[in-house]
Amino acid sequence: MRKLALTHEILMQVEKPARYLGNEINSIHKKPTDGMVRFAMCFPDVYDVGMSHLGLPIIYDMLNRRPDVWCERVYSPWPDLDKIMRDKNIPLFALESQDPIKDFDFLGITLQYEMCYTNILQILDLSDIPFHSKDRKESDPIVIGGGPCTYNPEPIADFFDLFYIGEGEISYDELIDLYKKCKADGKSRNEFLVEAAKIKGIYVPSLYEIIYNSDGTIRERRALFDAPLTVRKVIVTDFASAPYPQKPIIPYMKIVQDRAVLEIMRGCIRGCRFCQAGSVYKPQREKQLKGLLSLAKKILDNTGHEEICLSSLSTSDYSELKPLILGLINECNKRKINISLPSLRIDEFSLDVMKLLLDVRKSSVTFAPEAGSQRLRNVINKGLTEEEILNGASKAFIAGWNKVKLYFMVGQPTEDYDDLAAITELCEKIAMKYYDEIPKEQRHGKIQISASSSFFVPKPFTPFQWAAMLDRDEYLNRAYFIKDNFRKTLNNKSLHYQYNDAETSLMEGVFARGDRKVGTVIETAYKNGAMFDAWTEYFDFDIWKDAFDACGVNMDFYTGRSRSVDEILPWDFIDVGVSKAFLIKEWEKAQMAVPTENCRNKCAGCGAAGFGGGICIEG
Amino acid sequence: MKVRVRFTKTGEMKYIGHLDIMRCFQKAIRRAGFDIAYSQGFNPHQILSFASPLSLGMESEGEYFDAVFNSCLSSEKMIKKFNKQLNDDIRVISFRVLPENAKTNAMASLRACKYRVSLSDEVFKALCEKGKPENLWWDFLSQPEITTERKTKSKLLKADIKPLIIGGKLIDNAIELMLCAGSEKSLKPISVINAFFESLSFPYSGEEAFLKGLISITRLDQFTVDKDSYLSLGEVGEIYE
Repeated sequence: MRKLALTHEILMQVEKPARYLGNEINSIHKKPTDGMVRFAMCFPDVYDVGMSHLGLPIIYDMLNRRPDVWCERVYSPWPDLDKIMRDKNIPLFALESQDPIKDFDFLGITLQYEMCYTNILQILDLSDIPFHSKDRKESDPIVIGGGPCTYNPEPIADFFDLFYIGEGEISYDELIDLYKKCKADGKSRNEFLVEAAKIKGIYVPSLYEIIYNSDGTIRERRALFDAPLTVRKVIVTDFASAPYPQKPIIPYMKIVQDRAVLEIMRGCIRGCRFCQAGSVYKPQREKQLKGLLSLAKKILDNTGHEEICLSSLSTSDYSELKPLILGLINECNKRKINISLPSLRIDEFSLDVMKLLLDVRKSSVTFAPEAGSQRLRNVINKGLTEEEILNGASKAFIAGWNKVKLYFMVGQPTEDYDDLAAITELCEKIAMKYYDEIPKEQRHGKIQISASSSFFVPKPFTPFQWAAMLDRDEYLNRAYFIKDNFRKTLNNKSLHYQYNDAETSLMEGVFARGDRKVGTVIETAYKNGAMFDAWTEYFDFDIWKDAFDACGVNMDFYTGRSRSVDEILPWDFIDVGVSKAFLIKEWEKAQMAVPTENCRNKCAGCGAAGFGGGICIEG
Repeated sequence: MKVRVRFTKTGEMKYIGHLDIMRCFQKAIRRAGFDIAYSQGFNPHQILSFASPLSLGMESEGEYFDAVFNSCLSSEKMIKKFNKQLNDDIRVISFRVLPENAKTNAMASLRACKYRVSLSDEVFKALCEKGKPENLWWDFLSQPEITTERKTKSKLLKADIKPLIIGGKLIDNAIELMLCAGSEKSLKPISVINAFFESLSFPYSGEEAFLKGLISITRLDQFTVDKDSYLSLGEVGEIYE
């Protein structure tokens, strides 16, 4: 039996010890050799969540193909183990080797959502690595951040030695080769970082100085040591032949998404103006049908999963969706495997498919209009009309469904109370459709409509990056207004409405568009006990309010303020390929409620064509 | 065809819970491409049933599940194919085809389990300080009644566990226990050790000693009753040629 970092006594004390063993089937164990680069890849949340994520296995697979690198995993110890590790001074360890993180060459942390920021500090703290890049010693691992939150890394800039901006497939080899060379040449940590800043997609925050105006906005960014003034994201242009893990790790314990994941497409052709993913993953790129079907077979052979899920930002836009799904159904039926299809547009084809895959009585059809009125849907450029929704619903009712889910956002730019009233009206129209079109004897009971709304958070690199976010009271007023309207409807027994709490979204609002001054708030909140903020049972808004007060940082400066397009934004130094001129044009069109065509219909000239790949080139 | 699979669970796998072990086998069966039978209905699942769950932290040399296969290779080949999909700490060691007319599955036919409780040096030393270990164990086991107390929400339940102890012996620093198991009457090895340690006025209960790693417990095998004698679940059925 290999030596475990945790004793029998501790493993018997914690909930779900399987989180900390690292002995899963398909996990990669190597024999450490001299000069082998040890890479700890971290998802700063509990194993159950982190293991459900697709991006990390891609890098795990890619790095471990190199014989001179051993990439291992590390996740946030759950609070029960966290406490034991602190009490007993047990250093955080990587799962496969069970070796302390502190002894690694690299600690890569994937940043999938803003509410994980205090968990970054938990990881550093338990690993005994100084929080600030500037305090780290030669022997400490190089701490790298990656993932969607790096499109504005400034609130957490001090905690990282470097950020990787873009898709993991591109620059890691160069970075590791450089590291090995620097080490062989006896170069220091700082010398390595200065060199690393020259690699495409690598941002070294310590090489920049930010000068602020007296009102708190940015006056200037100064680059030191010849570091580049802008950092352009790196992406895979030949996406169809990009490597993809064929033998993903099979966890023993049940995790949040316990299934095989098939990435069919990256990027999105739609230009929803609130959506950061749609912007930063441009251009849209597809995998080829034939490759996907054989890949699906291989993954199922190698994992034995009983469900497979298609992953993309908008499944319905995949150009060969029909043959793909039919091919998968054919393969999966033989093996008694479920297929899970997220984000399908409701039309005849998708309903036929859903009828094959789902129990019509138990499942529901889902729409994401995001806004209630057509005017506001034009503002946000959500290309979904009321007619399409009602037609889709009607077809679903005829096919036997009677449950409908709808997703909305509250607080988008230009929204007024008429737009909010339209949410209820739309839901009522759907209910009426059911009672008008389905004869009583063919109905399976009452219609059930559940609408939910989230609190809109403006994100960097979207046309709404200049917009103000609502304050807490106004958001709640609007949510209550909708709730009230739902109560007054004719079918109020069948219509349900729920809304997200305001506090978490406000915090997201600060982190999403924050600058370096926010870093001290995160550190203060962490020291006062904030951790696992993405978990409602652990999120404590009071800790955060106190931390903002203690640091003299005003939340409203980040959330409640609309910015002028001339202001230097904290993330302006990143080039995601979508030009600022395009975003400004879209911001102006939004004010006038003028929609923009999707990439497939007509190129809007966003700038992503400069990458030379995907839909921009192939059309 | 109904089959019975015996497997071992050792080392790190003792920290993987019962439900996870079931899922691990379901996936291993899919990876191996076995011709297992599925239930009918909207969400078909493999027809598998495990003899009895093993407590977290215990190792085992004799775990069992029954399954229905549409077809299979020889026992020897099936064992090899299974093990290709598993790791060193979980191994299939027997694969037998049950008689067509077998009425009960492993779970329903279970009557007894055999355990080995290994005492650490620390516990064994403490035991020696109280007297000759064999004598202490004999005295404990030959009491007319062995009462244990169990707290429920509202009251204290007293029970005599002696009738549920089929046999027990202390050899060197290990106690071997044969205990009733199954749906009618069942006894956990920890309950016996709790009572034994209490009779010796040890500062810790059997449970605490187990959680701290002062004793370790291995399930050696599971048994049914056949013609008034105990028969290993693994000896039911025939090796498939």
